[in-house]
Amino acid sequence: MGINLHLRASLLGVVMATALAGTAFAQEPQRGGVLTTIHFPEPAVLSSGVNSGFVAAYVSTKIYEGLLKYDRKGDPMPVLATSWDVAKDGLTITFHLRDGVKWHDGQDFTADDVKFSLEKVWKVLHSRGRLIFANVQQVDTPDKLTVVLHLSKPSPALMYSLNSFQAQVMPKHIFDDGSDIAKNPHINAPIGTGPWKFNEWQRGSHVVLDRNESYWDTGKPYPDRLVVRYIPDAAARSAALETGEAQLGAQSPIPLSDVKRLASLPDIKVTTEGYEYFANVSTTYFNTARKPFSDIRVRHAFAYATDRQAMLDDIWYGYGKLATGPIASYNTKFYTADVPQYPYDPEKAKALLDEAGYTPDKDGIRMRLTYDVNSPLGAEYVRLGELLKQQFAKIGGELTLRTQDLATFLKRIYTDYDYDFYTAYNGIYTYPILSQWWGKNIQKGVPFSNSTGYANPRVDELIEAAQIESDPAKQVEEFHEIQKIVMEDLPVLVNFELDPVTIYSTKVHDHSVTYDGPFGSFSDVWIER
Amino acid sequence: MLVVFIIATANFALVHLVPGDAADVLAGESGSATPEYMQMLRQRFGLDKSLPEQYAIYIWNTARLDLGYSFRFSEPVSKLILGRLPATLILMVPAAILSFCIGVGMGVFASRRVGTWADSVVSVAAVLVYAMPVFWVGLMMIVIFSVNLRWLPTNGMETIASGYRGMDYVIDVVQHMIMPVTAMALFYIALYTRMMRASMLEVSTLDFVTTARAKGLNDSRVAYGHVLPNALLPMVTLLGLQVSTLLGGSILIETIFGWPGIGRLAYDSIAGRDVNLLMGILLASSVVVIVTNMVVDLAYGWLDPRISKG
Repeated sequence: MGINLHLRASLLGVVMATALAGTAFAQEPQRGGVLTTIHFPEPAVLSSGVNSGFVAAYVSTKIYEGLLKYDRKGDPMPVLATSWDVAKDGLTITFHLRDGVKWHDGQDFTADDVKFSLEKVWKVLHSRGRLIFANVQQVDTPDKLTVVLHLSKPSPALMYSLNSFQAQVMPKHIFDDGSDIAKNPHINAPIGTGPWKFNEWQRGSHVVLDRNESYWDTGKPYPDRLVVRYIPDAAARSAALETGEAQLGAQSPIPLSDVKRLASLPDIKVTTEGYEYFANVSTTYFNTARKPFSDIRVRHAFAYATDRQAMLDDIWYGYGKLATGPIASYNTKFYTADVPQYPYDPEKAKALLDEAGYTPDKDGIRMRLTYDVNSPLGAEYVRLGELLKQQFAKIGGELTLRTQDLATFLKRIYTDYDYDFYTAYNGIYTYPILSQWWGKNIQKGVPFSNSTGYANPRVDELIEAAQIESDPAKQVEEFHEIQKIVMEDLPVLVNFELDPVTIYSTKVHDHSVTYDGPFGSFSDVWIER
Repeated sequence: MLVVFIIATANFALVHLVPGDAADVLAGESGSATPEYMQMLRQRFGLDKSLPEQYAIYIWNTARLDLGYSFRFSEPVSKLILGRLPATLILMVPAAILSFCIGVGMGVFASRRVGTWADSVVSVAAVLVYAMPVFWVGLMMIVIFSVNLRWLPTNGMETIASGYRGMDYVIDVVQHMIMPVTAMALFYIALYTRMMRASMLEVSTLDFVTTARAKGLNDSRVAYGHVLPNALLPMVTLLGLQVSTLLGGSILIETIFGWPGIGRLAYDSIAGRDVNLLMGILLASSVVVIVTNMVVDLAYGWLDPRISKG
């Protein structure tokens, strides 16, 4: 079944690619129509500037734009910046901005907006931006259409973080009035430069965006309206896609168990393309600060005892591929397969546990552990807990599954460190920051800091060097070495690379043309009539 | 007044017993964070203040009828609640009216035919509906009427961006209402039916009914003129209970039918640890409960003059 699905997914990929390539001569985009999409859950606010999660991004990337976007290979392409120049030493970056761009309220877009966004929003209010733009010391605007960044150290991650998913350019004339930006009413009624204008947000139901008639990329976008509906029940989301009430659902909008059924319908397609930018890897985190996972042999034993193929096939229905290391293979620049591997081998796992002194008691149990089910991430994670319980029972590990809501889970993992192990996914992006393995990032109370307690001086050195390395060859060397050491030390277990799915009507075309797919601007999407 | 104060205090205590706070959730959704970022969030949300301080601010605001600001949603709490109110009311009020009328009607119908096959059909149906989980009924309705028959929209409250005006808009909303209102009403219909039937039978054994019969009144006059008004009393109690839950909405129905009501807002506020919003909803709901109880007491007096005199 898994193979079949894989085949289907890749076949669809081919169909998609030909459709994309074919648009130039075979299918001219058609104007008009209303594109209704679903995404889940509903965001709290409509600006990625103050909430950098996926749900706020899905809507706001249609309204706001970044300086750049990235093509399907991850290379930068112009959006609000038409050209750019990175100095040899990596310390000065100059952007030339697009002329004649207007905000949705009619005001001119200028270099001041970029300076404001970087200094007041990205560097201050954005969770990832605070790291990525930390080295930007000064922003100059010699004229209305030029922005010059002066950096204290080279920041290679910066040039890969200028799409609207990471760094939305926000209007200075709306937000820079001295009051709290996050409290500005336009946070929830955004005014951007993008192809879609905000119309209304009825909380609990939907967001309506209208076509920006005066978009700088003349003629685009094609549909008249873009609607995002929030349907809380998974079965009801499937029904909406099936009946055609919604024509596109991004980021695995329905349980994977239902995807196969929908994919078999004649007017529905499924693709896994358009998520390369996020390069998410399913990862199991060990608490290396306490027994038994403080012992590297126990971590190795659990690696050998995990049947990752079963995990991928039985729970994720084959939507993904086995990971070899912490950096996903989508990241062609820094990925390497040349790292220690841990194929499924329960006998080896038992031997390692024997060696570590965890021998079976009279009930055949070597150790009793608690596994924290990451249920906020979805039903798959509950089933994963059940699968791991079975798998570890085979080597004499007895698991107790513990389920909790998001806030409780985060506090347990990142503040109290009161856990044995848990599974989550880790977004690598184009230029990996890898702060979860950075010893100096063990910070109590900070979600997504280093929760494993892992600290290796050599890894710390390499992570720090890579973040300020301007020589591409050395960057590759450093990332490869980090991966090798981490895969030997195993503070985490890399399971597989996740392939989220986009489900869409056969009438919807060109929705995922950039590296960030459905989190791009939808400026090219069109509906066949 | 005292009741409201006690409720407000209990709300505050309950909400703060749960581990994790809004800053955790926001950072959790963002996928990454730094210590300075967490500190900035807590400062912005007022979570850096001590608990007694937060409590004092909350009680003072409540006393001034100011429900506060939801930092999670970047909107005032009152605006969020009022924004969901219309959707909640057009789901709950028709469901309450429908279930009361149909339930009472069915109950009377069954009670007048006790022991016949018609009574058995109604009673068995009531038990069946009563036992069916509301989410399952909702999903089955979607599968049958939306996916298979394609008669009704799967969910939502209106056809979005349809541009409907006037009568067209009303018809559109009514089409969207049919399934959630029915699913919502079914459970209560069953409840009212069973209760009304039992109540009618009980009242009809009382002395004054015997007297009425002795006067030579026919069966219908006895049932509608004498038994029914007295049998309605427990129904009013039940209706009062149902109305009390009005403002809370119904999280199951709202979730299945994508209905933008208050129930899900409350759920989201718990999951997001949005203290101000949750306490606002709880407080508003408790005020509705208090008011409904007063109205029910008055209605008793009107239906049964002995109560107000006694």
